[in-house]
Amino acid sequence: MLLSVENLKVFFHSDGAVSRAVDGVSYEIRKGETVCLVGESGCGKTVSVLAILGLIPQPPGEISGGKIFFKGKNLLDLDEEEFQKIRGKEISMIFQEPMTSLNPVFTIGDQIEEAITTHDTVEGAEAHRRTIELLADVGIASPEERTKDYPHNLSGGQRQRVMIAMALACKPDLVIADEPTTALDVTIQDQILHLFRELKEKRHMALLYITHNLGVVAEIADRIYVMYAGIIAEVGSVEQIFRNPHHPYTMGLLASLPSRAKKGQSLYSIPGAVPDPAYKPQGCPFNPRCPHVQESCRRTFPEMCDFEDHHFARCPIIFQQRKGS
Amino acid sequence: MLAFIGRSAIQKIITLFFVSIISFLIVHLAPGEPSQIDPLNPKFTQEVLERFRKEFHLDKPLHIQYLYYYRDLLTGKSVSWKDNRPVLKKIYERFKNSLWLFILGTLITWTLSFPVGIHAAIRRGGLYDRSTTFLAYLLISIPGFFFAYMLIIFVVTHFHVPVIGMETFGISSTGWHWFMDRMWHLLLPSILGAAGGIAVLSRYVRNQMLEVESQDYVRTAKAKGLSPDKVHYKHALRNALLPFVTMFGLILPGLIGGSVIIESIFSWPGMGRMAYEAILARNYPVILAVNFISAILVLVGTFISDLLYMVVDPRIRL
Repeated sequence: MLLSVENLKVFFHSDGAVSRAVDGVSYEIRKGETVCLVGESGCGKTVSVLAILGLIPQPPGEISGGKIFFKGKNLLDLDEEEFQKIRGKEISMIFQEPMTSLNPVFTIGDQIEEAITTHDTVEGAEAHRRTIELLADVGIASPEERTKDYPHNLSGGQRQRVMIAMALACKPDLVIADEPTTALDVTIQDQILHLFRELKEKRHMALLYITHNLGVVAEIADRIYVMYAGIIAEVGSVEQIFRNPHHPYTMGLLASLPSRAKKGQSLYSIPGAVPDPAYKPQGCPFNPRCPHVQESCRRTFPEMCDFEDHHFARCPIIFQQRKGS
Repeated sequence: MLAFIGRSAIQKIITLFFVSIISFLIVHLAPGEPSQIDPLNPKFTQEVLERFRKEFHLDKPLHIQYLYYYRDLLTGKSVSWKDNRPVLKKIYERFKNSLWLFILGTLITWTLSFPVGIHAAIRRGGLYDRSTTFLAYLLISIPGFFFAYMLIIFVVTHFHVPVIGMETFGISSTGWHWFMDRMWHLLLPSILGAAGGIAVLSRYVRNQMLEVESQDYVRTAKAKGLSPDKVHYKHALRNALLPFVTMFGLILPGLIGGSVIIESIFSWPGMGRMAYEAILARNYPVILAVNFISAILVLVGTFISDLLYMVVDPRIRL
C-alpha cells in the first residue's frame, strides 16, 4: 500500500460555525495504480488531498482526526521541515488552474529547475538538461527555447503541461492531479488525459486523480471513490461502479449522464442541492435527496456495506434489497 | 522600446502645454491681483500701481500675458514680483533645503514600511500584526502639528538639543560639530514627514502581500517543497512588489512640493513655505514656476514608472 488515508476529518472554522468539509474519509492507493476521486464541487475532494500534502491553511482549517499513511509513515505526525522533503519529491500535485498556478514573474525553465534543485543536489547545467528533457516528455515542442518563456507566453494547455513536468521533476511515487483538465477546452482535455496515461505507463507512478467528470473517470481510472458531502459514498472498480452502482447517489450521477438519455427526453438530475457543510442533515447526508430514503436514514449514519469483491457502498437500505433478492 | 520613448515624450509635451494653460488660467481667475494686495500701504499710489501693472504686463489681455510669462520662464528671465530676483534661482535655493528633508524622509518611509508590512502579512492575525496595525492607525489619526510639538518637547527636554530651523542660530563651528548640529535639525522634521507615510505605506504593503500570498502560484511553490522563506520572500514578495514600482516614480513630485505644515513648524526655509507665501502675495511668477516644475516632475515620474514596470514585470511590453 502506497498511501492510505484513514478516517480523515478536516473542519473549517468561520464565524462560530464549523464546516465539516471532510468528515471521516478513507481511501487507499497501491503502487502504480490510478485512483479517481469523484464528486461534485464542494464535496471535499480537494480539501482531502490538500491535507495529504499538508497544505490546509490552519487556521481557519483544522485536521480534526484521522491518519494519512504514506509508505508506512503517518504524514500528520511530520513537522514542517520533514513535510518539505516529501512535497514535490515523493508526492507532487497538479492544480486545477493552469492559468494562475505558475508564477508570472519567473520563466518556466527557472520554475522547473527550482523543483529539481530543491530536492536533488545537482549542478545548474544538469538541472537545465533535465528540465529540457521533462518538457520534451510532456510534449512541449522545441523545449530548449521554451525554458526561457514566461507563463504568459504559453497557452492554457501548454501551461498545464509545464505544471505536469514540474510535478514529475523528482520522479515522485504519487502524483495528485486536482481536476487538471477542468479549465481547458475539450480537445486539449483529451490531449492531457492521453499524456497522463502515457506518462503513467512510462514511469510506473501512482496517480490520484480528482474530477467531477465521469467521462474522464471511465477513461483513466483503475478504481473509483465516489464522494458526497465530505464522506465516501461508494468504492469500486470502473467496471463495478459503471455497470452496477449501489449507492443511490452514484446511481443518480450515472443516470444524469447525457449519453444515457434518450433523444427528445430531458436529462435526469438529482433533486435538491448539496448540503452546506456547516449544516449537514442528520443521519445519511444524502437522505433529503434520496429516492430510496427510509425512516432510519434520517436517524443513523449509514455503515459501509460490503456488496461484493472490493465493492463497497454506504447504503444499508440498498444492501438489504440486493441481499433479499 | 525607442518608439515607446518617442511616443511618450510627444504625449508628455502636449500634456505639459495644456497644464501650462490651465494653471495660468486658474491663477489669474483667482480673486485679487498683485497690485491690490496691500491697498493701505501709502507707497502704493495710483501712479505706482499703473507702473507696476505696466511693468509686469498686467494691463495686457490674458493670452498676451501667457506668452510673455512662459517666454520669460523658459529663457530663465522670469523674476519674482516681490523682490525682483530670478524665480528659478529662488526656487533652486529653497529646493536645496527641501531636498535633504525629502531624501531622509523618503528613505525612512521606504526602509521601514516594507519590513513592517511584509512581516505583518506573514504573521497575519498574530501579536506583531495586531500591534503594527494599531500603531499604524494611531499614526494616521494623530494630527501632524500635534505630534510635531510632542516630539519637539520630548527631544528638547530630554536631549537638550535645539531643533528649530536648519541649524542652530549663529553657529560658527565647523566639521563634526557642525555636521551633528545639522543632523539633529534634520532628524525631527524627517521623522515627522515619514510617520504618516510609514503608517499608510506599511498597510498597503501588508495588503498587497496578503493578496499575493493567497494566489495559486504561492500554493504551487509550497507544493514543490520549498522552504517557507523561499515561498514568502522569493515567490510572493517578487509579485507583491510590482505595484510599488509605479509608486516609486510618483514620489518624484514630492521633491518640489515639500510640506507647508512641517516647514512652518520647524521654520525650515523650504519649497512648501515659499510656495505658500507666494500664493498669499499673488506672486504669480513663483506660483506658476513651482506649478510648472511639479507638472514636469509628475510626467517624468510616470515615465520612469512605465520604464521600471517594463523591467520588473515580464508581462508588460510597451
